Amino acid sequence: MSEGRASTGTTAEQRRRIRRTTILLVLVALGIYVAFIASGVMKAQP
Amino acid sequence: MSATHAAHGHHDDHGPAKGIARWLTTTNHKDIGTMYLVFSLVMFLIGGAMALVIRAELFMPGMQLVDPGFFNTMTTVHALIMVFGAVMPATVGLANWMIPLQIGAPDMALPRMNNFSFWLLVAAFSLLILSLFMPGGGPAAGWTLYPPLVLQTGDALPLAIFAIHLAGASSIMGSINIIVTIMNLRAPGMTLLKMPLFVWTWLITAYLLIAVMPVFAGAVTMLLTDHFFKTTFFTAAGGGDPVLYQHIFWFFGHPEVYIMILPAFGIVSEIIPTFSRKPLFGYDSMVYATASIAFLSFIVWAHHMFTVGMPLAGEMFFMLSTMLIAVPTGVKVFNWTATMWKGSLSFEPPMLFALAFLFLFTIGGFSGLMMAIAPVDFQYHDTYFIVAHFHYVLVPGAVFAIMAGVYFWLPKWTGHMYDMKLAKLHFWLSAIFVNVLFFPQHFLGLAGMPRRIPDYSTQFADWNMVSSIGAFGFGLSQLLFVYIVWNCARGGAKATQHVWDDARTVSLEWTVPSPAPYHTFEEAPVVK
Repeated sequence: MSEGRASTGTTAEQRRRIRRTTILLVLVALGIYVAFIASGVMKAQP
Repeated sequence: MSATHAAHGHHDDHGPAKGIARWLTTTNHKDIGTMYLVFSLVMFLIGGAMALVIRAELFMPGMQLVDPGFFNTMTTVHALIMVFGAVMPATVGLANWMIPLQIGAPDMALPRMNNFSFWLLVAAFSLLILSLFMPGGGPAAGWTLYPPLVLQTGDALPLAIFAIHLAGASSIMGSINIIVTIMNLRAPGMTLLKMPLFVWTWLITAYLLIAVMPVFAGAVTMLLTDHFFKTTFFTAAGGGDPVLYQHIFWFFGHPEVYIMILPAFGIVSEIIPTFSRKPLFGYDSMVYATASIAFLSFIVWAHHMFTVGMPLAGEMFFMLSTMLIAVPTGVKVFNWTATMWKGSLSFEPPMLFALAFLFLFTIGGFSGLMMAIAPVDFQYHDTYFIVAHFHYVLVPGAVFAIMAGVYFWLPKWTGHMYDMKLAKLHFWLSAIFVNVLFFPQHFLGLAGMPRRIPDYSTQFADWNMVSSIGAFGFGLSQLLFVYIVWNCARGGAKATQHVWDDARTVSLEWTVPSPAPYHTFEEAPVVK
């Protein structure tokens, strides 16, 4: 099985940093998505 | 850069699963890289077939083969498939294969998400292709999906938009994976400024993707609600603004061009030093030039829409900022040329494609500079000159660089050398026909032929015929590429560990055997 290959070769500190960076980047992407729809809502006020 | 030799023990208990399960459930970066590359090749052939429908219809004036609605569908879906299904997944495939090997990591940091992002892409393009068979035909408003035209699409619209959302989610997940891998799994001693250029260009590309794919997703979500929920984001009658869509689209669309071309820069930056037998000239300036191009790509979007009518100050700003991109791009072209200067050059297929990239991408860059001039753009806008420009950037630009990369690393992947004579034949056929195909389109555009039309005035007949002959020649030449790759995967002369002249191969992928073992760098190498 090749499951979790990266995890087996990584330290606890690396895994913590991987988790933290991933969550941060997901939040950035979602934030940009919501912000641009919000900009459309603001612009489309009659 | 030098590295202490890594241990590459054989771990039979960790080998690939058998049969179809291997490909469905794999979390191995090499398997996923291969799947991305095969998927991209299939999409390249499907998108290419659509291009041939377009060029067959345009072979002579008058309506020959397809009705205008279907022609519009072909131009739209050809572009969506080539951009999101062929070029981007090809560079992601190369990233999956090469980034862990080049930074000395055992795999991508998030292997399960890697598998998920690939299969999401397959779902996305299955939906997009199925949308062709919906009542009312496939999407036909151009790849830019401008409202209000796109809102007239039939039942294909929700499928196409869902497909774009899925493809976008896949890209974002892929990018997160690449950033997290590069930032956290580099071998000890590999500082950022010791990373190979391909890794650098992908790191910057991944940030670009995370910044702009959600913007496109937001724009198409608003299209969806305008169509189904009676919102009026882009409908003037309800207080909305169709031009707002264009601004949002191109805020995504221009960086998207660089998302396709920056990894190509990285590939070429690996190949030219190898076949010049010299280190890359100006490594640091290459990194800073890549970052500068990425930054500038966010502040030039409105050069795609000079003709919507914008304040003079706006036109001046976007004109000058666009011209500014020529500076870091010029740095790159200068550095590649300086790398070759007094080098001991040889012309194997990867180098031939990289050199063609250098010349032909520069032609595309120059025509881009011409269009950056706002008053001149008023003449070129929506003509075949634009079609010629972006195809020069994307076909002998991005696609040639991808082919160069495949020819460069294929022996490392398969453990076999490919047929050099056939690969050189593939290069010469491609290089000749791509110019026969696209160069006359400059003339057509300057003479005033509009883009996205199935019929045209007889004054444009001759160059259209030449362009169509080039299209069929180029398309058929690519079957040779499929044959060469297929043959190489099945067997052939054994590739050495270094593949190319070992004096030239200094990054970590050349320290593992050919073919690269299923698992590599389980013990991280130390980079000195």
